[in-house]
Amino acid sequence: MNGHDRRDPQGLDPELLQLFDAASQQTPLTAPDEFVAATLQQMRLGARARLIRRCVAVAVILALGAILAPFIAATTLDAVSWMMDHLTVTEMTLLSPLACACAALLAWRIAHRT
Amino acid sequence: MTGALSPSALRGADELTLVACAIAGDDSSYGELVRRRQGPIRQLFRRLCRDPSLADDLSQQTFLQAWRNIETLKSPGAFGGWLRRLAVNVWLQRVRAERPPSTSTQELDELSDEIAQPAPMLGEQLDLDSALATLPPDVRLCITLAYAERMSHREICEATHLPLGTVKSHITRGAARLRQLLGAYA
Repeated sequence: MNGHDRRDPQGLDPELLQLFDAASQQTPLTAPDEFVAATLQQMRLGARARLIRRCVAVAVILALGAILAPFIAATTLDAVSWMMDHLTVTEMTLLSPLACACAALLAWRIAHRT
Repeated sequence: MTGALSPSALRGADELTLVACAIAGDDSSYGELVRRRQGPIRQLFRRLCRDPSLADDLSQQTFLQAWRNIETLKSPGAFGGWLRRLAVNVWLQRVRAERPPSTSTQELDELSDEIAQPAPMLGEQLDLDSALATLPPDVRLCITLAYAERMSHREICEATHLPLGTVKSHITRGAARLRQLLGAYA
């Protein structure tokens, strides 16, 4: 039935099984093409709605980025100037690209030691 | 839309190929899968709810859910079973939205009481769907999956998230109730 394999019915009532088989043959489904067309139409609508949602999400992210970018840039500049004013030469050395590379190398060695 | 098949190739393609193409995002392959699988899914819902229009709505809901989540399907060969489990979930969501949750024990007790009483239409030739409609929804679901879909007890247990003992009990008691209602054939 319904394209499924027949299997051991696990103690199911054989007469009831026959009734189910007969009932499924007696009630043919109407308009399969209409059903498929309606489902495909719903899929198209769903795809369009999903596309619109994605476009809106991208637009919101871009707008937020545009609004927040000047504030983030100003805060970063303030932070850098504060560091230049307050950190000692030794501390500045720790923030240099060479120090960052050394730290990354050390972290890589520790991660791969085990 | 990678690996899209031509309309003639779609008709001749085996299901594994169609599922693989659908997973890759080919909607026309998925449309062909809907065409091939609509019969069993609509039959299942018609048996469960007896309303052709509602059955078609629920079937459509099942196919749409499957389409949205098909990339989560790990093995194309499992498509049929996966789709059927989705259909069972759609049905359970519908049933649970319509009525407050009752425990299996309560439901079984209610069913026992019903079985203990004489069948209301005993002696009349009831059709199978009318008899099925008298069963509580969970029992009807278990009976339909066992007898119409030929699912094993364990498969029903996995699909419905009911305990194995409850599934067995629903099937045994539900079948007894059906036999009682369909007295004419016994």
